[in-house]
Amino acid sequence: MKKRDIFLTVILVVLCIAALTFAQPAGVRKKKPPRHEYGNVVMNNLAEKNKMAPVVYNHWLHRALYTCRLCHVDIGFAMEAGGTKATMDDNNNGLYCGACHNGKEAFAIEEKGVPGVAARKNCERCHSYGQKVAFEKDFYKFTKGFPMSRFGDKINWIKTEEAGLIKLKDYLEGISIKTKALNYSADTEIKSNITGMPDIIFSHKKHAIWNGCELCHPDIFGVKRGTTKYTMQDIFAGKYCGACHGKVSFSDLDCQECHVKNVN
Amino acid sequence: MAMLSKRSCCKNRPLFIIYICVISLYFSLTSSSYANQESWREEFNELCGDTQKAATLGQDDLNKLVARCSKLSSELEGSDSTQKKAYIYRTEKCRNFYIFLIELLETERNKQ
Repeated sequence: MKKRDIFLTVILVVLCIAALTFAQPAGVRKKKPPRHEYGNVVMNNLAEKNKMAPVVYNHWLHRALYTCRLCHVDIGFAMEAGGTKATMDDNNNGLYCGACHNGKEAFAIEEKGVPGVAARKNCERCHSYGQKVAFEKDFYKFTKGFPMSRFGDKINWIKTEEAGLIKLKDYLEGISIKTKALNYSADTEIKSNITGMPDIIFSHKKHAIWNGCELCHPDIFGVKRGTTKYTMQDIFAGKYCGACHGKVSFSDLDCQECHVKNVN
Repeated sequence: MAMLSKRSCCKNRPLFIIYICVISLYFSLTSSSYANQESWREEFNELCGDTQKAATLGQDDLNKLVARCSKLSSELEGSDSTQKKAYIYRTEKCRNFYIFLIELLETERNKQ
């Protein structure tokens, strides 16, 4: 073997190793979180800047008590990460987390001492990222006996509510507006683009009962009926149905939950 | 004794009047700011309480709601309420929903 061939082979091997090391993978499979972490949101707009641990918001516990609408419409939490920019001053003024965490609806941010009970700050109950915090409620104990589903946190929350195991609150005094019951439109059929895949039966009723109207329209679904096409790729990327499904609501991998029309 | 207190009251009369004026001014100012807050809250409740039935409204009614939402948003922007951040967001959300319904009506009208 000539010296030149050896040199070229070495160069080739080095280039191959470098390419393998620095190449961006074509597709990265998202790491599946454990069941109790599905839907968790880490909020760190200002926390670390103020030398606090970021907030870990557990969707599972809040969704077991309240409708999505109550927080994302009435209290005004944005749907996109980092969109709310809530501060501790806001919370102390009764906005955002402070709308409930006031000692009446849920534990207060700071509990004032009363005779026999010492005052205490509850910072670590929310600012818990990377901290060892013993929470009062444990996901697995709380959801024991709830109807199951196949993906995500593996709880079928619709069936859980139907079975009366949870009762979702949809009104908060001083925050929510008393409204008349909504007249739900009929289920909508959405054509599937893939041959053999059943069409989708979209239930406005099921969605509006937890979300109201303005949670989805127009921010998530600004589409005019039949004029805008969206694909499963869009949904996997967190758009349209993917704004909730695959993040907090049942997983977007569970085809049979949406593609339910009987195939003739 | 009664004579004495009457005399001291007469002596301090200007001070007493100023005191009464200050108290009245304070109450009128606080009650007007409270009334302002109540008025935007009422308007907000009326506007955003309509979202559930908005799909049954006609274009004119929806246009009026959009205009009122825009007015309320700019009023809130200018206010010093500690609540304005959340309520501007909520008002905008209602406004956008009404605009969405207007566009939906227009699309359906064009289809016919």
